[in-house]
Amino acid sequence: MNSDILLLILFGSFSMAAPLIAAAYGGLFSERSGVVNIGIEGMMTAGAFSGATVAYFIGNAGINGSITIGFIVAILIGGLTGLLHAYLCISLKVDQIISGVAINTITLALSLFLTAIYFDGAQETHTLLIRPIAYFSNRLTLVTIIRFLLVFAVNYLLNKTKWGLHVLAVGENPQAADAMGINVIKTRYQAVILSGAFSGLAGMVAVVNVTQRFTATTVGGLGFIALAVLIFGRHRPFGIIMAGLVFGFSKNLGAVISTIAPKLPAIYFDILPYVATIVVLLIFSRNKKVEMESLGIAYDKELR
Amino acid sequence: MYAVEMLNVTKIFGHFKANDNITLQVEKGEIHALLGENGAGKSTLMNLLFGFYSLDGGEIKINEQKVEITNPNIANDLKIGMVHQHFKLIKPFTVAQNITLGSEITRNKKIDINATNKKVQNIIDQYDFNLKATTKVEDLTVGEQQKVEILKMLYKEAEILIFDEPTGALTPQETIELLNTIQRLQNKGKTIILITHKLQEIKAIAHRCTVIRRGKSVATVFVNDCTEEKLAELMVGRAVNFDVNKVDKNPTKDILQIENLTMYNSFGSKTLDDVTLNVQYGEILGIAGVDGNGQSEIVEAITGLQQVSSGTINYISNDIKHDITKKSIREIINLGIGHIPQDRHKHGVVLEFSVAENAVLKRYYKSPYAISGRLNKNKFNSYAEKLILENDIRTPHGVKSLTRDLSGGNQQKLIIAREIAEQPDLLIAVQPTRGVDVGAIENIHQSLLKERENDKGIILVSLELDEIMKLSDRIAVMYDGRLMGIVDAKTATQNQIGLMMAGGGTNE
Amino acid sequence: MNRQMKINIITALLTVVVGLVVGMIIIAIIGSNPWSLLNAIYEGTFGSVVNFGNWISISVPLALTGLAVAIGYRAGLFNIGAEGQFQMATIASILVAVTSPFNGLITILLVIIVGIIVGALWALIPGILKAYYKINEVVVTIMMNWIALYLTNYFIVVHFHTSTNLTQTPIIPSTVSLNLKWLTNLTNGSNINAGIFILMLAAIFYWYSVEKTTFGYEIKAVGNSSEAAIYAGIDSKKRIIQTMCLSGAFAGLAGVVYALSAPGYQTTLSVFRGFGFDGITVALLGQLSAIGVILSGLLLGGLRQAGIFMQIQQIPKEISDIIIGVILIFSALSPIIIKKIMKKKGDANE
Repeated sequence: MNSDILLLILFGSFSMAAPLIAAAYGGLFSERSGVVNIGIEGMMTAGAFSGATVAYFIGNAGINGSITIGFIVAILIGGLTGLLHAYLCISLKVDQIISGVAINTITLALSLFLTAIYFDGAQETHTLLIRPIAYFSNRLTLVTIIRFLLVFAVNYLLNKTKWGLHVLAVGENPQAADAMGINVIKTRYQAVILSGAFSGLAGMVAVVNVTQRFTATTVGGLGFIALAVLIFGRHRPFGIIMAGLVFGFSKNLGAVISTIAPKLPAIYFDILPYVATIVVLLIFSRNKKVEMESLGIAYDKELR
Repeated sequence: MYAVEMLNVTKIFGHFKANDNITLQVEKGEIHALLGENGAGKSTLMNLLFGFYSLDGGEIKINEQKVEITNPNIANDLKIGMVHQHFKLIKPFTVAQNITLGSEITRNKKIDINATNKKVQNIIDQYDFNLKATTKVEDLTVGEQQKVEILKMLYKEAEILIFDEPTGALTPQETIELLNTIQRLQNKGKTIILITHKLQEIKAIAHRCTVIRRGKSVATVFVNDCTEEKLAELMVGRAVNFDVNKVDKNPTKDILQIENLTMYNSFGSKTLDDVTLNVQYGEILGIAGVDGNGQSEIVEAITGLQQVSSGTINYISNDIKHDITKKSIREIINLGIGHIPQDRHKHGVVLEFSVAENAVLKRYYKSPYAISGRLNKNKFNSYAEKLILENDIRTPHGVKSLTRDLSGGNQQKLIIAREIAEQPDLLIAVQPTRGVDVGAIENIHQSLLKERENDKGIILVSLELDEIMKLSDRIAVMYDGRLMGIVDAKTATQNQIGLMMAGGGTNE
Repeated sequence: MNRQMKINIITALLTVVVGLVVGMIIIAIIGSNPWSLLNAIYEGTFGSVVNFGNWISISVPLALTGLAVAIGYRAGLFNIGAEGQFQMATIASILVAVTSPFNGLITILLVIIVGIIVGALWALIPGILKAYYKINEVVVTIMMNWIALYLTNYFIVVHFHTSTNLTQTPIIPSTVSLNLKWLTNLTNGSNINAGIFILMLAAIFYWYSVEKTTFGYEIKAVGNSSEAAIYAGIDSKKRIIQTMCLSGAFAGLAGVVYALSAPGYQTTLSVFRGFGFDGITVALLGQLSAIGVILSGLLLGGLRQAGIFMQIQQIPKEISDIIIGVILIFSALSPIIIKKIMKKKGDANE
């Protein structure tokens, strides 16, 4: 096996891991605050579509920094979608799973709908021009590097700031947090909106790293693998990096395995992330102490 | 000077007067006990003081100034703190993190862990608690966790400390340590209100005690001037009408034999400690005690709802002994054991089912209600109709009504009617008359007595001592998971039982 | 028809209206004529006999997945895995149809049996994990969906494709198709087929098992109050597993009908077909009743048809999915709103 292919696999894994990790961070904030977020996939989609579209049109108009603007848009749109999920689940008390499923459906449909509108009936947006880092192979982008540095920011936010501590408290024992004067509802809203923002970011990362444009398959399941990354990473910022690399590697491997070892069926690698998630759930089901008790239950002040 | 005055305080929930014109006055720097049975109104009173509820009548004064306490933050500002029965702690957080939650010490937006730990450790040492600020709460014992709850109050510089049944989950050693702690706090000038049903504790540290019964304040006494017996008498009251026609029975045959029953809860604490008792055909065995002292666990062990750690439960029917600790719930039901559950919404009925569907909850799969898996809804309806007719159960639309649309009292009547109609040989009735109107209570009592007359065995668990004394032949008293004693209902007095319920009256 | 039923129907209708209104607003925003939505719905359903037949045809698998989700819901289970169960069954159906040595009718029966079993088996794992390990079925079934997608794609590409096209399965023999000559003729050559009879049987079976059997009684108890069910002596573990398998069976049946209808072959997929996910909307909109599910299936089928006709007017067909998503949200929202209204009325009455 020559080193070119090795580098290809390595950087490919990083590339694939990046959106997974970003999305998993999104899920992290939401779940830690006690709100299940199955809609990560949808929020990624919203971010991917809006980011890719805006970036294209701005870039096409000859303005610099289109990709960056695209990222900003993706984060904002993701955050808005998160706000929707928060409103449905927290204020209207709709079942959190249903809200997530609905968001997934609507965002995908809306994105494809608008893609066809803005791009003359096409199924995908037009390709973006993305400059790779000159040093490394053209699979590693600036985005990916920044992504990995984000772990320190996330860890800081969650574990070292007042707000982060409040999020953890609200998720562990909302009654206790409430009794100490913390606004449970507000904290949860903030966590879910942030989760949407991260997911939107992740969507744009997927666009930049994987398909260079928005199509139906850009996000295609990454939002759910991100859930797996979240679980596998034990809901911790550094654990998620590790898990993201593992899943990124396995997903990427599925794509390139045919070039390395044509005899091995790619199928095993394709389904590996999903099977692994189920196994992880099984192993950790014994240790129920780790799972938070209030996850998935809307907070009701009257039930004191 | 009075630190706390609650004057002519009233709190109403729906139609229920939880607090009826109660007056409580606590002197600054004293330890004042609040004594009463379950549902007497003590917790409600303190929840008013702490701002969880709002007053429906009367006023509150702190340090002789009138105040309005509408939420816990205001209570905190008034330097009132409360240690709840059920701790409100974040398990994975450290002691320091729990104590400073909501008022964290920060430096440039980042939490200053060192400063936090230092400040908390100072307070810990100041009050002689033996804890490290950096320990995770989940690694502490229950007694130590309680200390963290107390420290939360002290950190906020509370001067008036309310303890709500603080020794419920503690070991004897931890209890002694807690009482010492409370006295130490009082020595430092704190004012303490101690809600409890345990007489020894009151005698050990309280200066004065206010007794609450059925929502009213009954008396305020100096603890030193009162014996345990006198306190118990005040707690349970005197008026008991024994006007029941109880047929004389001389039961001889055992229907249930419980031996050395020990059980643990999911946190590893012992909930039942080596309990041995028996029930006979043709008798009502009452189980008395304050809520949470093991009665529920005995019932769950017998009915199969909870696993038994050690000990045996033998059910004797047709001279055959069945060890029911290993049997499934359905098997136990089919052996002839009926159960009127404590929590009717949780266990007794499926709220979304119709009255008819709930009426047949224990027989829907048997012929003629179901044949080869196929339900006969007409039979459901006719069976239910008979039940509601014979038991005066009021429904909005007959047997097709949704059970959730019935009043609580009628839901209870339905459950009782159903269980008795199953003709069990052993009937376990837990709080059977809770939430039921006065007229219906008599009927339920008559039903239970009728079962007894027909040679059935009955276990009656109730928090109403009147009810237990009226109906039972023998009374078993539970305290802290232990069987304090079994007395003959005809000769025992309320005070004697009240004493045992509160931990006294035995060689302690 | 009692009051409760009236409220349910009105609620469902209002939910649909809201969905349509949102759709119309979106269409107006992009500068097209919002009424074209209503036109397209009409066209796709009653516009012509062929359209009518196609409409019915596409509604059948939707109603069947609706039944799948509905029966899970009765027991308090969220079977999001209907999509994967459906997918596995479609490929299994084609496989059996193509390789079976028997004649038409026997093969069809064989396919149905295999499809049901495949669907049930695909739901068995989430069922066991839930019953015995209390693992939430949502994440597990979502994973199973993706595994199914990859497995079926792989199977087609590697083992089961036509000589010319790697991404397409062989075509089922015409004797195995569910097409009935008289139905096809009646509707001027539409896709409508015997699937409608299968749906009717399935709906009756659903209604019967939920309303008339001890099984139905017990799963409703488990779904509404798991603790009361235990108190009554019900074996909830067993019932949970059985319900998941039954749910998978319905989804599998949907896959069978879909596979044996026109065009008679399947292709690899890059995204899910969506029948399983639509089933969630169908179940909730239909308020878990057999008739409700059928009607909702028809409604969503009509929307899918409308999508095709919207394309003609340059409006992307995804508009249907958007509307379906909105209907899903409002279907979940309406019980909450109703409770609030009832409570206000109750307070006013006191």
